[in-house]
Amino acid sequence: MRPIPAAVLAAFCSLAGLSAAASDWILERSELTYTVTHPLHTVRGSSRQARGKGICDAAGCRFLVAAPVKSFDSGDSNRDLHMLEATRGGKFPVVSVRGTLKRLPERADKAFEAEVSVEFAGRTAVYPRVRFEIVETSSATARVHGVLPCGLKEYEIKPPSLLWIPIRDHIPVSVDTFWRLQETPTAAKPPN
Amino acid sequence: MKKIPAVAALSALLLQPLAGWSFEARRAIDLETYSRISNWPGSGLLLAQAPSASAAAGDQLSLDELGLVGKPAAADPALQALLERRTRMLQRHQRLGLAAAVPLLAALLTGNSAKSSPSGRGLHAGLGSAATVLYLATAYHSIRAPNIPGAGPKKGATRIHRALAFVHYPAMLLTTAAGFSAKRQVERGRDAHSLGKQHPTIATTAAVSFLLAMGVMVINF
Ligand code: HEM
Ligand code: HEM
Ligand code: HEM
Repeated sequence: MRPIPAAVLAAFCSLAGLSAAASDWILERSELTYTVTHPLHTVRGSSRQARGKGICDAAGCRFLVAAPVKSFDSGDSNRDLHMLEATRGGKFPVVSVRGTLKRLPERADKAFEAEVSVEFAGRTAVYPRVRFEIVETSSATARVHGVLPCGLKEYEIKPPSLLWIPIRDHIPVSVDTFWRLQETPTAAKPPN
Repeated sequence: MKKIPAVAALSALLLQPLAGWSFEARRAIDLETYSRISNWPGSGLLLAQAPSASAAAGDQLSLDELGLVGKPAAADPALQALLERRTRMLQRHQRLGLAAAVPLLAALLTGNSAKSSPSGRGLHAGLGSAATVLYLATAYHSIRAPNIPGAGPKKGATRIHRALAFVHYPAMLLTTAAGFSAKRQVERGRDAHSLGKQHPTIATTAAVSFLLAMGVMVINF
């Protein structure tokens, strides 16, 4: 346990206009969705199995969201297995997204920018400025949405092809997250 | 009739894949061979750790800290190898399937000439036989593509594609048998009868269901 003065927390947890003494955020619900484009059609695959945590302190906010690659569902089992293969999901079963905010969002902010690093398929890519919108907030919750401008190249993934035409390199990943302020602040470990 | 046991044995051999499909026998074998993959997600959230995803010890933002790791399962190269083998075999399946479609369509178009002249019959029989061989190669590569343990039920276009195989597989085998039978009958100077007479109907069923199976996959990948 690392005690944090309530006044400091009150000052820095302004994202949701909070004055409560806590600085940890837990991802309560989320939907991560990738979009793959091919001249013949567009495919979306989503996962709701991500887990995540965010910590805000004097230095800003950091968050981590991670999901099993296998949990993305595009509606076709065969395509999902292909995706798993092409993204080396056997060797690297987790995709994790780390974000850093140098400045805490103000109460009135509708959006903020974060540096995001994504670890996927055994490679790490950094997107220095990803815009996130604050969709809604309450005293203890926040819904935040952003789109990661991912490309296959960053992760050295060979684009799968359909009828000899490869899919486009650009695979935007929409990150829709619903966070809740954790009662017990930093360093309280979840049960294993 | 010495031929009957031979035909029966051949049919049993050729029908074996269908039995494999329905009883999921191959799944069982794959499961056994790769039992160590059995902790792969299927029940709840089981996450292995990507090597560098967990930051330095003590970091409050690590995968462990998220409680993501049920059993700390390592990355699984065996699963990756299985996935890659599956993709390779299915890609070959796809190419062979497209290749089979060419003589199949040609056989459909030359069916009529098989009725009129010996040379037309020869050409049609050749095209039909080529279609059958490529068809079996196609089917073989799809059936042999390994199942992935814990991958869940088949969904989407793949399900329709697989279901259609239960139509075109027996239909293709019957088409070939009926075609040879019709050929023999016609060459003996008789009209095609019994199974031989059904050849055009069965052949059309086979061709249509095959092309449908191809069609559903072409709008998918
Ligand atoms: C001989 C007839 C065929 C049979 C018995 C057959 C059967 C199958 C089966 C069982 C699968 C595996 C599905 C799964 O387990 O997820 C499959 C996949 C597939 N089949 Fe066929 N199929 C046939 C013909 C074709 C043809 C003509 C095409 C034409 C393009 C085709 C394209 C595909 C594709 C694209 C896949 C998915 C492969 C991948 O990309 O992973 N199939 N087929
Ligand atoms: C009736 C025809 C065919 C039969 C019965 C057949 C059978 C087989 C068998 C038994 C295997 C080993 C599969 C395994 O790894 O367990 C195999 C693999 C293979 N087949 Fe075929 N095949 C046929 C046609 C073809 C054709 C026409 C091609 C090429 C266009 C082809 C290309 C291959 C290749 C490259 C492999 C390697 C498999 C791998 O990398 O895992 N086959 N086939
Ligand atoms: C597998 C693909 C095949 C397809 C799609 C196919 C299709 C057809 C069709 C549609 C007809 C009827 C034409 C009409 O009534 O106008 C026909 C007739 C015929 N086919 Fe095939 N066929 C195939 C394979 C074969 C094979 C492998 C043989 C023999 C080795 C064969 C031998 C014949 C003969 C002899 C006739 C004429 C029957 C008669 O005179 O009544 N076919 N075929």
